[in-house]
This record gives sequence, C-alpha cells and structure tokens, in this order.
Amino acid sequence: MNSASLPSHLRINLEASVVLLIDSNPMTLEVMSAVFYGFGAKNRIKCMDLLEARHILAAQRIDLIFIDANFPNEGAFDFMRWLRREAPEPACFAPTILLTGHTTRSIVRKARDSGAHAVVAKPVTTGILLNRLAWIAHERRPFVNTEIYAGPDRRWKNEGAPIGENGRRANDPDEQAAEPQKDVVNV
Amino acid sequence: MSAAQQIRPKLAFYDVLDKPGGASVDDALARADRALEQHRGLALAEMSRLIRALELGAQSRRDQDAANVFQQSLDVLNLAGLYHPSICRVANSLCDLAERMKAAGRWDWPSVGVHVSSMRLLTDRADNSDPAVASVLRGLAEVVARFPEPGASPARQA
Repeated sequence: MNSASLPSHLRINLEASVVLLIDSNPMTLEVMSAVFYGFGAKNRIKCMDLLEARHILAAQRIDLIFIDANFPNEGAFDFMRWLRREAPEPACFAPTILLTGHTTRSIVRKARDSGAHAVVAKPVTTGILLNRLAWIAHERRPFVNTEIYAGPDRRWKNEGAPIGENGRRANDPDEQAAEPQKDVVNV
Repeated sequence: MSAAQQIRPKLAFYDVLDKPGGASVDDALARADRALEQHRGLALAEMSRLIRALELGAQSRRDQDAANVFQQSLDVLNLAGLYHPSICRVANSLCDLAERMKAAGRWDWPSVGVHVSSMRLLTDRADNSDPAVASVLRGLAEVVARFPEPGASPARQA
C-alpha cells in the first residue's frame, strides 16, 4: 500500500478502537469527532486541554491519538515530546496523527521531529485522513529512541544508514556491502 | 554518536485492517463525508463571521486590530481547512504575512486588505484546482514575498 491511494475493497474496523481527539477549538473538535464516528470509531474521547489529555493517557488504553497542532505556545509539540519520552507504556507508542493549520517550514520541521506517525496539513479531506489511518496500521513502523528523537522510525523503509555514515541500528546493513540507497524520511 | 534503540510494540491498532467486520473504505468515507456535511452550515457561518472581523480590522487599521490578525486568520484557516480549501490557502498566506510583517517591524494594512478581499472573492470557489484560485494565490504569494521570512538568511531574503 502506498500513501497516495486506498484500494476500495479494503476494510477497516475501528469499532473496538479508543480514539483520543485533542483540539483547542470546540467546533473543529466536534467535527473531527463526527468524522471519526463516520470511520467507524464508536469510542471517542474529546479533549480540549493538553494536561487533561495526559491524565487520560495515563489512566486508560488509547489506540489512536488525533491532535491539532493549533495550541498556544507550541503546546502540541511539547505534548508530543512528553508522549514519546515520558508517558507510560503502552501510551508512549500510541499511533498519532498531528494536524497542522498554519504551515511554515519551521512548523513542518517541528512536526516531523515531534514523533507523530503522520503529519497532515490543512486543507484536509476525509480521504486523506482515512488513508493515513490505514497507512499507519499497514506499515507498523518500529519505534526508535535516541538522544534527539523518540517515535516511529522515520527511516521507515530501512535501507540502511545515510550514504557515507555508519548505521546506528543493529539491523543496518554494512555500509560497504550495501548498495547506495536513498535515505527515506517520512512524516 | 549514541546507538538507536529500536522497539517493535504490538499495538491493537495495527490489526484494524485485518479484523473481521468494520466497513469498506468506500462506506467509511461516505459516512465520514455525511458527518462532515452535517456541520458545514455552522462552520461556514462561523468562518464568514471571522472574515467579517478581519474586514473590519483592515478598514479601521488600528494597532489592536493588527495584533489580532494572525489569530483571526488562523481561526479562519482551521475551519476552512475542513470545508473550503481555497480560503484555507488564503488564510495560510495571511498568517505568513502577519508573521513576516511583525518580524520585519512594518505593518502594511493594504497587504492585509488584499488577502481579506481574496477570501470574499473566493467564497464561491472552493476548488484549489480552479485556475482563478491559483491566480489569486500567486498574486498573494508575491505580496507576502515583499516581506522577508523570519529567520531567513540575508541571501535567501534577496
């Protein structure tokens, strides 16, 4: 499956999934909750406060997080750092989609480094969102934990370390033996 | 350089494509689109109210209105991002502009005004692929480019 299209015969079952929706705007929170209900997610928790979201994640199982980046003082990025670095297991591994509004180079960089499985910039469609959900479930990316990044592996097709560098992963191919390959970075 | 620790957690979410039941992609999308449509009227009314507030600010040209432009435009963007792609792009451009003007220390109300007028102009043209929309967005990009990107090196600003 690529990230551009979904086969129409594909089925998706979110009936047992618990989805945490985090958005500071009550109207867009309500709309996104309705969209996820349309996708089949019966168990949705709506949250407008990042501290409350932390409490929820510490207290119960959450299968998917959908968070709008539009919190004051880059709160959504701080939340993501807490999620990946400090939240208890299994919450720290929760698949997360980060939705960005105003998209600048700096925000794209921060979003990419935040540890989200997918970053989606507005304008957005239901097709794009469902596509990302299916893609996350299909790819099952491993998590990496380093001094500078914690989250789903951004080199999601592990074709070795960047050219000219020694790999840091145990399963990185030997640089001499490997074909020169492009380092695939995905957010 | 430290070694990267790699973990392969087994997550229930990974099974949503393999689990019996559920819905086809087409059905799920149709239901989600219906749900989205139920909120369209309220969302567009709120978006129009926000654009009106921007219009009033651009007319009055007061300092306190300038301080609100970024947030008001972001609010427009967030709603338009779900219902009106072309206005979403204009609002994104206005957010860029507001940030750049603030960083540059020179506020230019006519540049704001042309963005707000564009929102109104595109109210009936939601489709980003519409050549008229592309033309408007190109013009706005030129307006924004008159102000340097915050943090950009002098070479990139030139």
